Amino acid sequence: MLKKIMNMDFSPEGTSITLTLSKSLYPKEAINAASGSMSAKAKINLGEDNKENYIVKLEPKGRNLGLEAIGREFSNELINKSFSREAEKNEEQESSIVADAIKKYQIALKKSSINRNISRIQTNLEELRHASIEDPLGISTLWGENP
Amino acid sequence: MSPIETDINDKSVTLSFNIPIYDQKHLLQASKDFSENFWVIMHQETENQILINLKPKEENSIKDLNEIAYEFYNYALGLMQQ
Repeated sequence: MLKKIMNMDFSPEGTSITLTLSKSLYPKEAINAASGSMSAKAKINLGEDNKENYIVKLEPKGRNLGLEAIGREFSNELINKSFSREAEKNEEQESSIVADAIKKYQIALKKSSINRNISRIQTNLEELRHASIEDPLGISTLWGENP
Repeated sequence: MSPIETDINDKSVTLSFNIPIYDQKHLLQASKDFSENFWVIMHQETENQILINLKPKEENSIKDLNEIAYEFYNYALGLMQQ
């Protein structure tokens, strides 16, 4: 019987190990990053079995590196990279939410400033209208008329 | 499978988590925090079940493995309450 630990399948020849990684659990960037970290220790082949899983085949470069050790080291790397990726994603989302809130606040501020100016203009116009009606000495003339 | 399964030959322990109850991100954080002292494998067994296998980097007794499993459960619960 072929050896299997969790998601790690050992090849019959005992030369490589294959990891089945759920796409819903691990982002592709994390798998790439973990592969990059392990590339000095193992030959790595990335693939996918269907729409649900990535497949990572690891073949140790050194003779003294055990298959299980390589598989477990890759899994630890993958967890750390996935967590970092998740943290980055959350940070990006938070920044985007804050930027949106600032933008909305600035628009509201602008609108309120415009409204204040409109109200001031309306008050001035009203004052002007009243001022033009009042002519206690009777000396006002219409525009264009000879005095 | 039962919530905790100890593998005497492999000297590791596997924990089972129900996903609607446990949040994936908390399990990922707990796994990351435990990865300093343990070899951790996180595997999606089914849509609603995640398995986490822990193997101490330093060899421990079987009794210790069970204690470690409960410690991990408690740690994950602690993260959920934050």
